[in-house]
Amino acid sequence: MLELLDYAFMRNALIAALLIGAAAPQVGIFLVQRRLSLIGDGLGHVALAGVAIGLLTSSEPVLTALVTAVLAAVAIEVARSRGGPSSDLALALMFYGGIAAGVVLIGLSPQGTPANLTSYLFGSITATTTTDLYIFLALTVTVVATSILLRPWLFAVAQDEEYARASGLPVVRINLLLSILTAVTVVVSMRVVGLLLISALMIIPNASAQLLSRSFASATRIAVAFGLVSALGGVVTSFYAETPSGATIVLIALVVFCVAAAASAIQHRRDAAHARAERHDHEHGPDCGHTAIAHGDHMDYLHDGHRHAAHADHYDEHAAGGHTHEAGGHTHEHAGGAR
Amino acid sequence: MPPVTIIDLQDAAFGYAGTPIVSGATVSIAPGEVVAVLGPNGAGKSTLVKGLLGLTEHLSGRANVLDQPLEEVDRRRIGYVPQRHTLANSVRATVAEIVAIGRLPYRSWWRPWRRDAYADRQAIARALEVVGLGERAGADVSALSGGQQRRVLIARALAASPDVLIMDEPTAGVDHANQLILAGVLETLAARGTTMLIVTHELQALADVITRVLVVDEGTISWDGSPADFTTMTGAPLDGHHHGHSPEHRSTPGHLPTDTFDRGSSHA
Ligand SMILES: [Zn+2]
Ligand SMILES: [Zn+2]
Ligand SMILES: [Zn+2]
Ligand SMILES: [Zn+2]
Ligand SMILES: [Zn+2]
Repeated sequence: MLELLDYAFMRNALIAALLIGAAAPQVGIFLVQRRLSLIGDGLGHVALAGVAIGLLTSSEPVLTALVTAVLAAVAIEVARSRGGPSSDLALALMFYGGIAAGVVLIGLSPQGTPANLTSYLFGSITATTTTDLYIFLALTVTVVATSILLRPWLFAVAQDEEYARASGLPVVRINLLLSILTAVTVVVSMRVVGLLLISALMIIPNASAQLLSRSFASATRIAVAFGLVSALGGVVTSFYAETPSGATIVLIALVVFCVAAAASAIQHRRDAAHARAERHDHEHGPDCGHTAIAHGDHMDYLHDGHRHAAHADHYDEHAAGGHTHEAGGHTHEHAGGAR
Repeated sequence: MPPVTIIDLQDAAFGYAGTPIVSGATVSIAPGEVVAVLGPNGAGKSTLVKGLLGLTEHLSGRANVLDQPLEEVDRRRIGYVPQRHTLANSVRATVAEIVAIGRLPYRSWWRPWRRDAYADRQAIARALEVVGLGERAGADVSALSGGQQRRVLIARALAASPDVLIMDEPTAGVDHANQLILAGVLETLAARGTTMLIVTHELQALADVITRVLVVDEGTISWDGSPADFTTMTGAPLDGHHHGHSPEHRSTPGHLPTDTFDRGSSHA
């Protein structure tokens, strides 16, 4: 099993997978939140033109792709903030122009073999050079550190842009930052995942994590775990199965999604069976007049001889002692009213 | 030092892209007032209140908030409760995570290890307590009812400890029982001396809290007076709910005096 570590290219590919598996979902969650899931895809298209420029001028393709993608990211944010009916079309022109120019220019370059093009589009485990790896490491550390430090701001602006503006947060700069983080992630991922599939690793682990979590914080953690499983699993599988690594990574991410969907369906069925308290408009709280009793991690309120605990938009019926829900539920009249 | 006037407009105009929607607005609001902003849809009430929030352009005239020109005021001191029919987003978030956004303007990203994290958590917990959602801090906001989500938005604004709360239709689209709870929350806030500016169509639901009525019509403030005078003018009783006591009140079909201003336009 560990024989794959004997190959230098596999060590590079695995380290690259580790980096993108951790970084892509952390940036992607904000794209999902802002409903911009396909922006990463568009930036991948544009980055191909950057790769071509690098190949034609014999400079480092990763660096030329980085410059191109970041410039495109800035242009996208400017177009979006100006709005208007043509901004959507302007993006389409840029994305298709980018990939068309990339394919043509790579064809013209000396290294422009079909195999080389395929590896840029769909990823390859043999593509990551040691130079790439140092660049990726520096970029990934920057992306992860920025998205962790600025997570509350990115979250706030994506959650409610109008409120963020009203409370004086730097909305334009935060949106620009997200766009640039996306561009950098695209470039870091292009060797292993490929420019056409990059967006998938930013989005699918988040789609899976959303099924299993209640909070933004836990969704982010779960998405990173899924991203790591998919990226590392995809690279290892592609070594043995001799498949393009990017496509393999995406398929594994989709399998994870299916498992998560099944788990959440089972969880849903379990939730539906629990014991709800009788409906009342009264909200329990410290001064509500009902006796509060600590129960595990929450408070139960003694309500006409029942113990009520807040859950979702209603109250649950809790039993004293062990934290088991009463089966069957019950109906009763409120003797004293809520207050 | 507490502000002398909360809002002071003198012939102020607000609008979009240089075009005024509201003009000639003159009003002065003192600390502790609870002002209902009424008027037909499209008459400019949203433009006016959003102007105070810096969301629409201030085009001319004087517009002071908290004794300072609108453009210079500390935005954290103006709490905003937007009109939202749902908080459900494309990603999950807990009640506490949403309310924490209200504390964000006090944080600096270059000090993640800041010592005031405890103060933030206290402010969030207190805000949730005020709106009666203390027990649901960890709940997924999309699982809450519409009225509960409205209270989450109020808590988010309160978490910033503002000097004035600007609310856009806080009771719209909320069932009657939840309207009573919301009115109770606003009463608690009013009793604490919170100044509020409330855009609403449902004056009756808030009758116990309102101390003043502004009517915005045809792009300007067309009427300004006490709720009692407003009642006399429109002829409809502005009868208060004594919420939570008499069940028979709940079944009374609410005829809203503001209906007289609605030109049959359906507000979303
Ligand atoms: Zn109670
Ligand atoms: Zn319990
Ligand atoms: Zn019960
Ligand atoms: Zn109860
Ligand atoms: Zn329940």
